[in-house]
Amino acid sequence: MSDNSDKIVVEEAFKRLEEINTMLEDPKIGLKESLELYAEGVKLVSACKESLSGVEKEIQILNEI
Amino acid sequence: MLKNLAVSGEVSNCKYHSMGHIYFSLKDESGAIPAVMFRGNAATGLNFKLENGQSVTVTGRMDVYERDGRYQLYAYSIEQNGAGRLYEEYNKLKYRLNEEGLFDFEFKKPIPKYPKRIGIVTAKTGAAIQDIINVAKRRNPYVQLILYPAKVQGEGAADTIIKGIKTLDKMNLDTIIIGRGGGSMEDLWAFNEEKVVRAVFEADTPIISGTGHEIDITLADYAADMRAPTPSAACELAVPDVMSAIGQLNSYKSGLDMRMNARLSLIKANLETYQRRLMAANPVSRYKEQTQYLSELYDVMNRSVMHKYELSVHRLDVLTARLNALSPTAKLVGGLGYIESNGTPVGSVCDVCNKDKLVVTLHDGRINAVVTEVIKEDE
Repeated sequence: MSDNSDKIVVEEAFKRLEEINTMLEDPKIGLKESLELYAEGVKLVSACKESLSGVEKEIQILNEI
Repeated sequence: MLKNLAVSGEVSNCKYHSMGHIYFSLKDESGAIPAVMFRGNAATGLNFKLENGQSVTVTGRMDVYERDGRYQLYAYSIEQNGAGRLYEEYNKLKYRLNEEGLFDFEFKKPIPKYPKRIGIVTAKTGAAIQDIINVAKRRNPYVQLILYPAKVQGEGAADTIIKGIKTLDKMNLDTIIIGRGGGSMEDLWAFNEEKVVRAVFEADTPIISGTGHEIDITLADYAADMRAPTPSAACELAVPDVMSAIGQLNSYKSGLDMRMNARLSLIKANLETYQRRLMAANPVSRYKEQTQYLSELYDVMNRSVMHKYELSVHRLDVLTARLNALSPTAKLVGGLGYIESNGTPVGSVCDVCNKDKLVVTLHDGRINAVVTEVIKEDE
């Protein structure tokens, strides 16, 4: 298996994004904290997108042996 | 008699007798011969259940069945031909490998959910690879597919499949797909060969196998970490729909924005309210307000004082006029005068003596005079 870490990042990021969205709805969370959460969320979204997408790849065919 | 004959044909009219003997006919395109396998032979020479329609090779002797007076085949052993034999082998191997634990769930490796590089072992041409490419491109155009072109049927197929698995396994990929399109059991046979099944089991990379159509399950399928009914289904399992994951991310992002904006506009509204209240309580603005009030009061006061003053002036004029009208000097016309002596009015001739200085005031001035004579008249 290559980078198993990627799998963890994306799946955990989804979970964390759910949490952040829930917390941002909580009026008990202060402005400073909510700004920090927002920044974290936006960073996670772009990190995930970067990890998921990229350049379109063509199939690579190994030489027949 | 004809001993040790080998006769091939299709089984028909098969009956298992209660005594343990098996009666059947062996037929081909041109005809049929009756056959029997006695219980003793069946115990050693038959390792599957004989059924109508099976293609078998019967080894035995030909002899006359005296009661009917015709030839009958007495079977010592029966083997299945072709697919039937393969099926038998398949079942035996499946049982053995299962006993050994090659199909055990505990050895299944999880399939990475967001793979970047996927290896494929299948034929370079054919529907399977095209299906896999199409599915992968649709679901995640960013994933790198690496094909190991393998021979998937016929002589040497198993060896190229094993080579493919081993080569790709060393490339540190996320997932390997092995597969081929549908076909007969013979076509799929390479995926039932023990060495292929073992190669699948031993690979460190998670393997998804999709061989044949839905109904075909090869032993490689059982040993794989995940089994798919077809090659394109294998690809669907290997390549998650990244487009929907990106859609999900976008909705998280807009959720973040929406909630943050709602929060900020609420705070802004509160801030404006506080600001207004603060402004209202601000001493500078209170001072300005009071100064303005004061100057208004001052103006009002000025205006009323002026008014009063003007009224007074007017009234003074009126009174002066009236006073003038009543002035004693105003009466000193037509020869009338007001006489003073030493600052006192002269009311009687007795008040003055000869040579006294008098001041006579008329309406338009005064006359200084001297008394020359005083004449008192009797009353």
